[in-house]
Amino acid sequence: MEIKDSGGSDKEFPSPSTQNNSEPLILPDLPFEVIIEILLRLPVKSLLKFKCVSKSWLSLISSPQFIKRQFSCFSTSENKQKLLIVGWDERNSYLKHCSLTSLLYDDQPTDIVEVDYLPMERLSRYLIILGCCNGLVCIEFMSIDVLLWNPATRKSKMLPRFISQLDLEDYYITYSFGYDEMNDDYKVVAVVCSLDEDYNPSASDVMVYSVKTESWRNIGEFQGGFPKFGYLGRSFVNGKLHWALEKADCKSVVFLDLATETFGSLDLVETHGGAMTMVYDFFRPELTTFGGSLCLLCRSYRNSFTDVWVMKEYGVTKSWIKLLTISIDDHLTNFFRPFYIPGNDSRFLGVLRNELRLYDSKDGSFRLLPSPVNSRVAGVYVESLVSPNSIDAPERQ
Amino acid sequence: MASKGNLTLKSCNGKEFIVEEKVAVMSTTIKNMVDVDDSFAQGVIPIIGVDGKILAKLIEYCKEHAEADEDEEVKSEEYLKKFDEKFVDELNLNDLYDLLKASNYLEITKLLNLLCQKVASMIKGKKPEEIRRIFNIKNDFTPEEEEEINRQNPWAF
Repeated sequence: MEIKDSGGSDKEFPSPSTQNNSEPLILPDLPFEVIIEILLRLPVKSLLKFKCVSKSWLSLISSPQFIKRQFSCFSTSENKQKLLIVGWDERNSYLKHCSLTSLLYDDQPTDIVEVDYLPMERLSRYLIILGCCNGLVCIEFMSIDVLLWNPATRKSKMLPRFISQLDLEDYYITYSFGYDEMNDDYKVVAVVCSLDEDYNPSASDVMVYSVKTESWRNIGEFQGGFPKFGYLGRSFVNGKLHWALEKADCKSVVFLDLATETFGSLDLVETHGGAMTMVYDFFRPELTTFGGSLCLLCRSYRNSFTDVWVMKEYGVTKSWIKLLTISIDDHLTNFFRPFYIPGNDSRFLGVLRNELRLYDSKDGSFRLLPSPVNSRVAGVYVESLVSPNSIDAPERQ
Repeated sequence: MASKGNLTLKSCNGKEFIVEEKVAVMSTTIKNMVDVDDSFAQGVIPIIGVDGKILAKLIEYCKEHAEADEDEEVKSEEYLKKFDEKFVDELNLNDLYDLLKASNYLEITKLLNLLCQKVASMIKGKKPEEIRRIFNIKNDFTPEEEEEINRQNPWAF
């Protein structure tokens, strides 16, 4: 391999500092693997702009391998992660986003900006962000409509309905969203439970929407009971969607492996010598994702504390550990929902009373972070090129 | 000849550098050479196509990082971050270009990543025609094809 010797006298161009803007930037004939490494570090907006540089750049930037490497590269770097925040007023929701590092480490985070390119003209107040996965955001509206949206490429896709508005009265539906890495596919799973006269779930159907096939499929009944109603009882970890169950005394969670579309279950409680237990009398635990692990938030309304349990090693019941107990000596309904551990320190980002706060476990303080009033956190996402459509067709009018 | 634990690296213009093995093997290419052929560890390792000035820069970078890997107390993550920032900021374009190629050839992944990040920050706001000029790339689209591609994301321009 030949490398140009800049120490010689045959210089092609002078060498002022890179700080000098007048110096033309010329980096000819770099090996293509180096070009790839450079492009992997560009914002998505630049990548979209550079698709027209040449045919080889277009095919590189559009290739599934590059798209996967790009979001993996961004996901591992904290300063590339963004926080999506939903705020709402009487009628509408609005979205804001900001750089996670700026919010956490800057005294005056400056870049919390409203997303002014929403996927639709106005967003209903009643929206639920089901999750963010490799740059795709999944939003549910009124239990019936589901939208996939990539805020970085501004592409979106409203999924076709599989149920009519009228039929909704007899069912409750819980939606979840995740990534099937084996098939490089994104899937929305809807568990449709029919209700008996007493409004108890009596039967279920599981519908799976695949971005690749752009259609819903019925994969049969939900296994092991019925998922807990509401959007809080589920989590996407390790290629699997997890649900807390409707039963009051449940000691396990049910999962669906998105690659094989098969169900399984994980035990919640492990008692050895009475030392460790997760049995809570007053409430059912809430399932979530925390630092990439399956996480259980156990609230005690009576004593105003929240225990945060994390399954350190996926699938190993013994690896459940209580990460911390957060006490709030205030109102009974207050509940701190932690969702992100910045780095390896003692601080936890979360939402308390519809406000974004940084909890420090060292002194039990809740530092208020600048965020819109009435906000809930949608999640942490990275910019990516992942398309909500199976083929990235030109913008449809 | 280098003493035990040290390696001798020789640039393409004949400059020799005696460096600790742990510093030299930050380069996967050198590590592989030493691993497969013991004579490299004893003698002189020729670094093809890399001149003395660039090799000295590479060694400066690898030395800091090898020491940090060994003892986090002395060189913290914070220290390394500052070192990296200063290292890339002080490079002129010639050196940036030569180091990019050399760190790719020698497979010094950390440095290559750092340099690629630097280039990315320099080019992210450029126009496509500027990008072609920078990397010496021929536009092989017809004007119609180019317009069609750009029509998909008009807001990006």
